[in-house]
Parts: sequence; structure tokens; C-alpha cells
Amino acid sequence: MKKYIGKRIINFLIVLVGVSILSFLLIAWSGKDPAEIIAHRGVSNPTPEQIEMIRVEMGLDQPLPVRYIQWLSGMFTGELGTSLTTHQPIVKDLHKYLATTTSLVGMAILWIIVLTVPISLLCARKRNRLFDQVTRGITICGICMPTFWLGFLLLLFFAIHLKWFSVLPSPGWRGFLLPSFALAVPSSCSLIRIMRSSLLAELSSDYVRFAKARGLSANRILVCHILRNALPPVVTIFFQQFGFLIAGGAVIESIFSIKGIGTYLVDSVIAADTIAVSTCIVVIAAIFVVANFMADIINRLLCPWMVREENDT
Amino acid sequence: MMPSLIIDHLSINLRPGTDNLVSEISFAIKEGESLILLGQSGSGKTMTCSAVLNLLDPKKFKVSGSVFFGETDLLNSSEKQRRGIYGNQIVYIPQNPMTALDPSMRIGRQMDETLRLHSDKSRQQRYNYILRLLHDVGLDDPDRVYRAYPHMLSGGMLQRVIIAMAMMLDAKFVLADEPTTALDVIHRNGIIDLFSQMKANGVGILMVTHDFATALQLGGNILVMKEGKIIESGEVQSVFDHTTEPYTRSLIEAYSLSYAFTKGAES
Repeated sequence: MKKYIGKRIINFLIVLVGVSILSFLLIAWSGKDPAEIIAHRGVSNPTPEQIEMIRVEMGLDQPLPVRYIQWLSGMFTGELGTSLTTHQPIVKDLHKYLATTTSLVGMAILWIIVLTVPISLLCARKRNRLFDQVTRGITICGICMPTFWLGFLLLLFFAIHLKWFSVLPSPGWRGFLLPSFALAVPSSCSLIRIMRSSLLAELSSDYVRFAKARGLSANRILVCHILRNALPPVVTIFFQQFGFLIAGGAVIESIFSIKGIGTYLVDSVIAADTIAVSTCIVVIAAIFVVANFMADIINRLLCPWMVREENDT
Repeated sequence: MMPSLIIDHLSINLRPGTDNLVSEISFAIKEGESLILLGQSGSGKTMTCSAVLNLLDPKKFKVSGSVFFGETDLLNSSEKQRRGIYGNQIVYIPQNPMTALDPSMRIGRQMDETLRLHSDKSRQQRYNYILRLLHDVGLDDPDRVYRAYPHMLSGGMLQRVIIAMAMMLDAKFVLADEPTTALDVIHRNGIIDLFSQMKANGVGILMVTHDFATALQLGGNILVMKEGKIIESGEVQSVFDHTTEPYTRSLIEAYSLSYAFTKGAES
């Protein structure tokens, strides 16, 4: 296990360095000159000398590798300069927006678990009966439905018709209830489909047959034996969707007027704030890699026999 | 009256369609007796076993006839009634011990789960009892087995675990579906010894096999099945000595061949 974790951490670092180089280069070569954009903000019609001054001031005249190293060390010391959009230190911004997004995504994850696990269990238990059929229809609609449309519908219904929520974000967890639900629906719908078939695939295994012959009830077999063995593919895909949750978060954040990392990233791209953009990308990539790592660890805890199979190959 | 397992005119059909998988077979076993269902794969012996255990999906198979355990009609009893019998008084020993247990649950917990369902022993009593049983079936380190996951044990050890599970409650009948097929010869003999022990303790044994060696070792009566029908029956040794059925002969020859091989390897 220790060796495995060590290997994964090295992997993690390689991916992060790769992502950071890639995002840095892509933005550096995007053709936009940040110095010129900043100069335009200060004065309406800057002279070439003024632009040059800003370039030197910001270190943009340095060669690319030097700028890359500066940016990288900035990430560790927390000195990344000020954001062009909020005029706050980028690190402080990231801290604030990341916290908001984390609460949003965290709550969406709660929704996903609460929706996926019981519904899939019921579908597997009552397969091809009415509940299963209706769920199939709803989940397929849910997978197809664009998040922004669902967000608008939820706002329209719950905030405008029923007036249970305000259209503008209310403080505290209440404000996250609707947006996190909108974010969770597409993921849970596809996860319900996956988990249902994963449960049904286990249903014909030998150990289920033997458990029946031992006199265990169908419900007990489902919850105590099948569930655990059916989870690994669901866990893997769940954590892979983590990245999509953060990305989809940008859309949801803008619909529900929440200031999170998604909207921050979009604003920074529009403002050509190169440092903020590449830092955001690295942070999101790190979250994504950590999520995949978590999926592996959880699966290993759920199904200890997987460890052996890996050693065999 | 001693309860016995009476199978009367049992037929199994595939649904939809009229394919007869097993047709009109009848037999009975008493406690302390053993009966062997012998046949090639596809002869319907495993089907029969599954029907007695009520493991066939009623959507796919139509089972007719009757299976009586004492006074209880197993094919027409409530699920609750059946759950009190299966795993407790009628136990099943599956073909492949490597896949019969939940791969992600410790062996001890799976044994405990069954025991708790059918008895009202305390936690500590159950633990001690399980350790003793594991020791009795010839597992040297019961504590390690208790804590192990199925993948950590060999096939022979797992089959012993499953037999320990069968001996755990007051089983009247054991239905064993090819219990030795997945094992090598050395383990096979040990497992058959355990079956003989159970038989001596008054347990009725229905064993499905295609291997005449196993049948001879266990003894008792034998039913030879071919294409869902019983074509020959009698005491194992006398069938072995005097059969005139070409099908039975071919099964005996297959046995003699493998027997000659192992003898040859030993000398």
C-alpha cells in the first residue's frame, strides 16, 4: 500500500507539472499581449512607451522559461500579483472563490449520493417493474437536459412561482440548495443507470446464489453483499465526473449569480489575465487528479481482492 | 418420524417453450443416507439440485411435481418458511468454492451472518463456535481464516470453510453440487472424508457429480441421469460391478482411465 501511494504521488506531481507547462504555454502563445491590455485599462490611448513600461514592470519582457519559473515559485510563496478583474491578490481571490465552489460541489455530491444510491437499489430490486421503467425515462431525460436549462426551470418554479427561494443567492447553505441540485441531476442520472446495471450484473454471481441458499433475504443480500461489490465502477465514474462538476459549475454559478471559481475563470479569460487563468487551470487539474486518486483508494477499501488482481498482472 | 427429502415427479421446463430439462424424476433420501446423482454435464443433475433448493428463477423455468421436506412442500411454501429451512436444515455446498463467497467480506463475517440468522447465540458464543468448527474441518489457523478474505485462501481451504458452514447449524440434509470438481485429488479425499463424517452423524447427503471415483468413495445409492431422465439406480458398488447400460459404462471407463493415471503417477 505504501509503495502504491508513493507511486501515485509521483504520478500526481508529473501530471501537475505537465498541466502547468501546457496551460502556461497555451496562454503565452494565445497572441494576446497582457501588457497592452493592462495599459488600455489605465489610459484610453497608451503610447508604446507606456506599454513597454508596464511590460518591464510586470516582468513580461523576460524569456518564457524565466516567467514560468517565477509563476511556479509564486504559487508556492503566494505572490502571484493582483487580479485584473477584481484588483485583489490572485491568491486571496482563489481562496475565496474556491471555498464557494467547494461548498457548491460538496452539496451537489451530497445530492448525488442521496439520489443515486437508494434509487438504483430500488430499481435493481424492482427491475422491469413500474418504478424501474419510470426511473429509466426520467434518468434518460435528465442525462439529455442541459444544466443551464434545468437551472432556469428550477429558478422559475421554486424561486418565482413558489417563492421558496430568492432569485439572488441567499447567504448560507440555503442559497446552494437549488444550484447544487441542478448541478447534481445530470451526474446522478447517468450514475443511476450505471449503478443499476452494475447491481444487476452482480445479481447472477455465484455468491448471490449461495447467499440465497443460506437463507438470507433478498434485501439483505442486495444491501450487505451486492451493493459493495457493485460500487467500484460507480465510484470510478463518480470521481471522474468531479472535473465536470467543477466545469459545469461555471454555468450554474452564472445562472444563480454565485461567485465561484468557474465564473472567476471565465472572467479572467475575458480579461486576458494570464496568471489567474493558468493558476485556475492548475488548481482544477490538481482537484481532478486528487479525485481520481480518491476513487482508487475507496475502491481498494471496498474490494480488497482488487489489490491482488493488480499484483497478478 | 425422521424427516426425509422426497422428490416426486419433478419436471423442469424452460419458459417459454416446451424444452424438458428434467422430466418426471422421483427419489427420496433419509437422514444418514447418501444419494449420488451421476451424469455428464447437461444431464440435468445440477438443475434438479437447484430446483430442490428453490434457486431457479420462476420467470425462466417452470418447475412441476413436488419436493417435500418432512411435512413441508418446499415448492409451495412461503418465502419466510423457506428461509427458515434453507441454510439451516437443508444446506447447499456449491460447485466452485472460489466464487461462492462474497469476495469483499471477511469469511468470519459471512459465517457469522448465517449463524446469526438461524440461531440465537450471543456474539462471543458464535465467534468461539465458528473457530471450533473451522478447526474441526481441518483448518490449522482458524483465527486467520476467520479474518481472511476469500481470495486469500486456496480452493481446498475454501471448500472446508463451506463445509464448516454446512455443519454449523443442525442440518438434516446437505445438497452438494460437484463439491470436489474444482479441487485436486489430495484435497478431494479430505473433503469426501468430511462428507462421510457428516453422514455418520446422521445427515442425509445428496451429491451431484460426474465422477465415479467420488461416488464410490462416498457410497450409498446412486441415480444415473441422462438427458433429464433417470436411466439406472441402485447401490453404488453393485452398479459399478454389474451395470449393463452403455452410458453408465462410459462414465465408469472415464473413471477407470483417470484412476489408472493417478495410480501410474503414484507408482
